[in-house]
Amino acid sequence: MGGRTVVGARNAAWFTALLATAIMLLALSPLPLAAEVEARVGSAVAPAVGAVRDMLRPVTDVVLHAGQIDELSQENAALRQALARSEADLAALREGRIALEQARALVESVGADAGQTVTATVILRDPAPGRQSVVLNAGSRDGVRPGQPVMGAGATLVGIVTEVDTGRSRVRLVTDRDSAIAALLQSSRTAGSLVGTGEGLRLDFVSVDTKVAAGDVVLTSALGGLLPPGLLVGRVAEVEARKQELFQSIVVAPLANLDRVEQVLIMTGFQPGAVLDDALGEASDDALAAPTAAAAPTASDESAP
Amino acid sequence: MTLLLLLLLLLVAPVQAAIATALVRDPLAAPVLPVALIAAWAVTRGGTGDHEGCPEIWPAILLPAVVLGAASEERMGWFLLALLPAPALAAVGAARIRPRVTGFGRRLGIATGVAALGAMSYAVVLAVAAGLATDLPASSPSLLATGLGSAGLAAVAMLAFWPLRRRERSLFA
Repeated sequence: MGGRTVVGARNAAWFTALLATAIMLLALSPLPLAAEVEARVGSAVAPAVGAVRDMLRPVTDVVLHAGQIDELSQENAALRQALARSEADLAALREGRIALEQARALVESVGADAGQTVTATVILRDPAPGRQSVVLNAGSRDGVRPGQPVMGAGATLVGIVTEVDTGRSRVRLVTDRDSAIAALLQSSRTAGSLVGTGEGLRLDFVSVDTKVAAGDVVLTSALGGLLPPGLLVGRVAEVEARKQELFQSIVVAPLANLDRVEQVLIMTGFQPGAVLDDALGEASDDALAAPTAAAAPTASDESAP
Repeated sequence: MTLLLLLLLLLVAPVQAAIATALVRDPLAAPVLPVALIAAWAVTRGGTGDHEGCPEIWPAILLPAVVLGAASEERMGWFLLALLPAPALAAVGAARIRPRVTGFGRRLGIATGVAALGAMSYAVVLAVAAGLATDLPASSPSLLATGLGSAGLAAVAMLAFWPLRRRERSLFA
């Protein structure tokens, strides 16, 4: 009985110590040092997890595509990619016809070297339930910076870089619950906020007066200067408009297959917020110049007589 | 033996990170390998008649917590909190076992029960950490799946650990 008490007391002590450790880790997690330590451990862990994923790939293919043979799975993936590319081409043509005059200004607003890209491979997926992020094998030494857009097959936006290490970077997928980007409907040019729901996407703040139909293409918007405009994101899957409400409920299906994305393109030439900073800089310059210009005539008026 | 458990959990942590994203479509429904191993280990090695118990199950959860935390956007502290119910439940389950008396069937029942509850606690804590608390009622099939999957893994692990159970050391035993 005494032994049982000793064991019970020891278990309680362990439980308390580990609980305190967990709370301490959470309390310290906002510190930069903690993030650096996690990043370093992550760098060490990522190759091991990647290797295990590769080893499990035959098993996962069987489990996830039960009843299908490997060739069918590959053919399916190839067809999806081809379809995504076709949709990208079609949308690009429409986009060019609708906004021919806007195109030059938009390209300029993105920046002269926006075409610079870096290809990267997904080496890790977030194992935590409810988190939609991936780790790529490209980092700051490749020119990757936080906020840069990441494209998948068919030049569709899959996410945005959130953290960058020397040789790795973490990308928050557009379907993550913490993801929200400026977007617009291609057909009506109506802007909205495209937010992740964990499983898909939802377009918020689109007025009930706007005509939206299933199949409408959703693109990124340059509003806010955080993303280049015109990147494909998804298609409208469901629309629900109630007259008594201000905004419609729009469900958007991502064009990229985010569950199976393996190769991506990071737009390293894009500097998030640079356009906005320039515009704000010019505005503030004008504001500073205005009083001077206003003061000048006063001085000349005084000296004139 | 402590080193063996630590090594096993260190090895299964990357496997857990991989299966949670590759083997199942819903990460909430993924079986939790570290929890299954701890449950199986505790009921195989623990017991009330033994004054030492099996304290190694407590520090062992630190390793998978560190590995999974490093692989995830979620912090290590959340993974440690999520894994903490597993050794607690395992300690309670092991306290119901009398070495050399409790049979395989009863131990198997305890191990699978501990693994199922531990895995569901793991999923619930991480779902709450990710801001999915309100979605949990709708996710009950996923929670059930993670519990059942982990219980199945615990049963397999217990079969593997069975030769390692504590036995009376005597000349003819």
